[in-house]
Amino acid sequence: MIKTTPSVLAIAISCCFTSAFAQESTANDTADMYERIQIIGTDDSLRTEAGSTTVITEVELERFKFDDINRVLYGVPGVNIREEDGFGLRPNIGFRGATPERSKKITVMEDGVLIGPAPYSAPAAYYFPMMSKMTGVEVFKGPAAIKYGPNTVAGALNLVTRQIPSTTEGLIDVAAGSDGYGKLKGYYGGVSGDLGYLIEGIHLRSDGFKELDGGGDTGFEKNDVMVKLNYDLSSNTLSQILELKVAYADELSNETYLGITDNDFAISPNRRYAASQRDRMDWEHSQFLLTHFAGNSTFDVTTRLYRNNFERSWFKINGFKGGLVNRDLQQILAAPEDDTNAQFYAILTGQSDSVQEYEKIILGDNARKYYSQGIQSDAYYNGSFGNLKHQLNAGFRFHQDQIRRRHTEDAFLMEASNLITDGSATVATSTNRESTDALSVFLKETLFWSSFEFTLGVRGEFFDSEYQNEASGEENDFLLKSTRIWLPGVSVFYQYSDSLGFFAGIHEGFIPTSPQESPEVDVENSIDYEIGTRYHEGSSQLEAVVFYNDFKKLKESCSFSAASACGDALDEEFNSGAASVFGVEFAAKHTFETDGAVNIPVSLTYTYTSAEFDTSFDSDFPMWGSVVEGDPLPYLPEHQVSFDIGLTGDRWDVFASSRYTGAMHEASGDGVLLSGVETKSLLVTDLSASYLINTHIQVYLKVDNVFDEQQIVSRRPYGARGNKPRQFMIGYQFRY
Amino acid sequence: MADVKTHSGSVISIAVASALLTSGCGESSSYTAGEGYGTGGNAPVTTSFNEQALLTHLTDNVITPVFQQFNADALQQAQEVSAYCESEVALANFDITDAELTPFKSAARLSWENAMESWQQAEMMQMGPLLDNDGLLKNNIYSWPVVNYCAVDYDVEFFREGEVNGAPYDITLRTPSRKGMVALEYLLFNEDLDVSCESGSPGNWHNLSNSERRVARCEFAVEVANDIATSSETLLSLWAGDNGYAAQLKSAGSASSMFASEHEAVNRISDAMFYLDSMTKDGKLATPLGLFANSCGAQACPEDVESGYAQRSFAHILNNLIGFQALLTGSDGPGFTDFLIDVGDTDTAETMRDDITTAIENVRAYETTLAEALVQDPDAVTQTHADVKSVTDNLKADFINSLALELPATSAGDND
Repeated sequence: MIKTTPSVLAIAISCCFTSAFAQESTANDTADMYERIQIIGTDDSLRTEAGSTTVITEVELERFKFDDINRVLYGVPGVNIREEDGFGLRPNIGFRGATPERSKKITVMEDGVLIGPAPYSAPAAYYFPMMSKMTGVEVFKGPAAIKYGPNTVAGALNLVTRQIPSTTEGLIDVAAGSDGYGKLKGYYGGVSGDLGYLIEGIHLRSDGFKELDGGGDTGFEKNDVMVKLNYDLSSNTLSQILELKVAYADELSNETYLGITDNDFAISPNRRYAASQRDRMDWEHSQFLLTHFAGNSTFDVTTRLYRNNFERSWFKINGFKGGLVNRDLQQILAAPEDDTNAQFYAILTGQSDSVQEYEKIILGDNARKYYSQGIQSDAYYNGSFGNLKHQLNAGFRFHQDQIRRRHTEDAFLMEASNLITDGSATVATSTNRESTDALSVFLKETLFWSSFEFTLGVRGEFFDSEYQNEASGEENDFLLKSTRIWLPGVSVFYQYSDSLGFFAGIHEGFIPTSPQESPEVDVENSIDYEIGTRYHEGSSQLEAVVFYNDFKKLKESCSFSAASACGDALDEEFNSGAASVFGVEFAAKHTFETDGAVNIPVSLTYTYTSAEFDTSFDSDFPMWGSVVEGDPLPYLPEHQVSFDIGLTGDRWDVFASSRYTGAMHEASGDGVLLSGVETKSLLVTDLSASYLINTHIQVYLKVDNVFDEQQIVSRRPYGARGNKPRQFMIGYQFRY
Repeated sequence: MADVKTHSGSVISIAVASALLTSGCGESSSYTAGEGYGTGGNAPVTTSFNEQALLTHLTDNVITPVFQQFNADALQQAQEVSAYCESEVALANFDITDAELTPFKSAARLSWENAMESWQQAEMMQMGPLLDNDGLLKNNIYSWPVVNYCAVDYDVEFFREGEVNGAPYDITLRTPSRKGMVALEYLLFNEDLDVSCESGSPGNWHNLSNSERRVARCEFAVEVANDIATSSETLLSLWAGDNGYAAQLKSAGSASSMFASEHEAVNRISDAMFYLDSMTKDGKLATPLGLFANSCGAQACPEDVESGYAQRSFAHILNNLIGFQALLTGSDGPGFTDFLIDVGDTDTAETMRDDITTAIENVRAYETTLAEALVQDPDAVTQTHADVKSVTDNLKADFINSLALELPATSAGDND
């Protein structure tokens, strides 16, 4: 269940900001460091932030213990998701109509710091933090989100890791389940004098639910270790704390971009073809974050110094060698009966051997190294103009990030259902570097007048980017770009009563182009509007928002994960004509109390989205094609509903969570491979139950997708893939 | 902490207001690009060469005549195949003798060879309508290297029975490898009346007499030949019709054309010329030679030659080379060699002109079939491959670089 609250900063503005988070329902509260990190507080009164924000607390996350961010976010209104691997290893998340592809149009943060591998230079989030270690999730959409750039058209997602506990405590959590699922999680932390400490480690694994032709592991193993240390430097007049976070994570997953044909999905939805038997993602991520906070009731400033390193090897089928006969994987799987495709299909499935040169299978290693580093600071000042209170929030971020590609390809023969190297040399494909230096500033002023809170704000993004082809002899293949943009926003909240309020806001949205992309490709730019109301009385909460995003142009990029049909347009970006997204978001929750010791919490979330192009245009982007005015945007369900209900006693609880996702278009216009193709609507129900044996020990049971409902959730990157089938899991927790 | 001073509100408000005003200025951007950016490493050339004249000449005097010739050949082929089949029926009815059948059969085969000669030049000119829908029209005419003789056997029987899975037989709905010039070659040149299927066989084929089988095959051959003729008409219409692809090429750079520039249109023609690399060199020579994987396990493999039944592989290669030469030199008008000379790369122009001439002469000199040469004189075939490779090596490097053209997407993964 999810708690919907308003955004922080009270307001208003929508614009701006790098990292400042707050819980400033009133201007004179004394903030502390964790409020700045966690962004949204969870108190029981009506929140007066203008803008749609949602927080999912640790208590709520614990109910279902999801390892998959997709499953967590299904209960948040205004979120659109394209599932891919079933585990959420590489999620595709969009807000309010933004293309979900690799979550590249939203700003993803961990503890208030950009966490994408290279958020400016390569925004596709091939690295995503491990959901299992998060104790809070915060979602900002529309005007509430622009504080957290660079991507401001859709929203921001902040994942909050465990705080250092104020008293000594620890936990061991062991779980096992179907498909070889296993989880081992533990943490220990506390305070000794002015020194706080925390160490947390998680191991997560599964054998996978896909069934590889000829057998084989389709699962994954993930590890994550995090250490936090802080030191309290506070005096009588100033709260001050210094905190260090160091983390390491890795993943080894037998994942693939290769799906299956619709017919094969109908017969065996979890089948995986033999040609994907060598596919593997192998990455390592390390993180360093030093945070300093100082403040009192009038003024506070939070400063963060950060560095993230990410290195991956992503070895997977790219397609057939071609030459004499050329067929894209997407083409083959869309029409396997075609007599040109039939032989390729037989090879993919291991029914035929590769005989001709063009029938060799090309596996590519998209090896990449990234870093993302910077320093950011934001400050709050609470003051007054006579009797008029106001709050000023300002900040900056200097950020650098880089991606270095060392892509290679190798040729394999399918022989007796096994991929055998053909002995030829590895071929280098992409060898380049993209990097960005970015300075972001924001300024926001909130005025408190009568029952109104007015906020004006502006965000500035100034960045210089560089693309350099690093292949030998290609020194002259480079591009240097400078972009400067100011993004204004304004919002207002009107408190009608202690339990009811109304809000509205307008802001300008922006998504930069990559360093490599031609200057002829425009940034994505939009004007976003929203108006809403919020109610909070006792255990009853409600928020309803109507939004309208008016895009001058959309920008998309061609990637392996988007479609194999990119051909030589890999990583190329495309502009569309104008587009608009209209939507309604509704979230309500209430807890019914019975005469006995049982409570019944319920929550309902509904999202309506109507997204379409406002002009006709032709595009080579494989999700668009020949678009006519009024054509829908891809991967946006018109209706989404999530309903949760629970029974909670003193020592036990049972929860059920159902979500309905409407049909989605796989492409917008005509003339592209998946034109006119839709995913079907899907209803999935998850169950969880837990029992507290004593104050230290809890056991729990989970069933994901209890009715084992499976549909094609996407036909990208190559071919159909379904959602995760039914999965059981039992667990044991020991707390001390 | 030191006491924080309360500022006056006016300063703050002015700061915000100023920032908002600045926002009204929106976005600004600037860039600096390296000479190699966006050109695949090739800097644009500065030239006064008349690309419009090149497009017009190649379109009107090289490509269109080839398509017209194929259309004429396809129509003639349909007539000859029909006449041959009437003879097969007469033979089955004992109205004529085998000897009387022979000239009709030879004429039908010759008509196929003639059509293939023009088509093999057209293979080098695949653009626009021949590439649309994943090359459906091209494949309907000639699907090689995708061949499926067993599927042809099935369609012979489907056609004979008049239906496919309960639906009336309609050749226009059949997949390319079941029809076109590949199927027609099989139907006209294959003397083996058993089916080519590794397992199973269509319908009542095994119950038919040899005479009935010959009639069944020739009657389907008539249907196929007529379909090829129809496809050739379609090609000509889409190519040379009002606002057809030829007109689009010739008006490149104008508002009415799909090509933003003449150079872009020229690049589409150069894309087509890469057929010589991927198909002629790699598919028709390197593969049967065993330089590439083939069905004999990467050794000389007569089974993998093009047109194995008609044994016309060298003729096909020769016509590929002739088609390439026409585009390269322009024959009696401006060609790519003139473009190369204009931009100062006379060496490449002359080298390619000489190399293609050498390749043509050497292929003409063969007195055996390719399948025979692979066994009897593989060194000669290796030399032929080298002759063609010398042309394509220049095509992929100096030709493209000097003219600032882009490699076709399918050529990105170099097979050499």
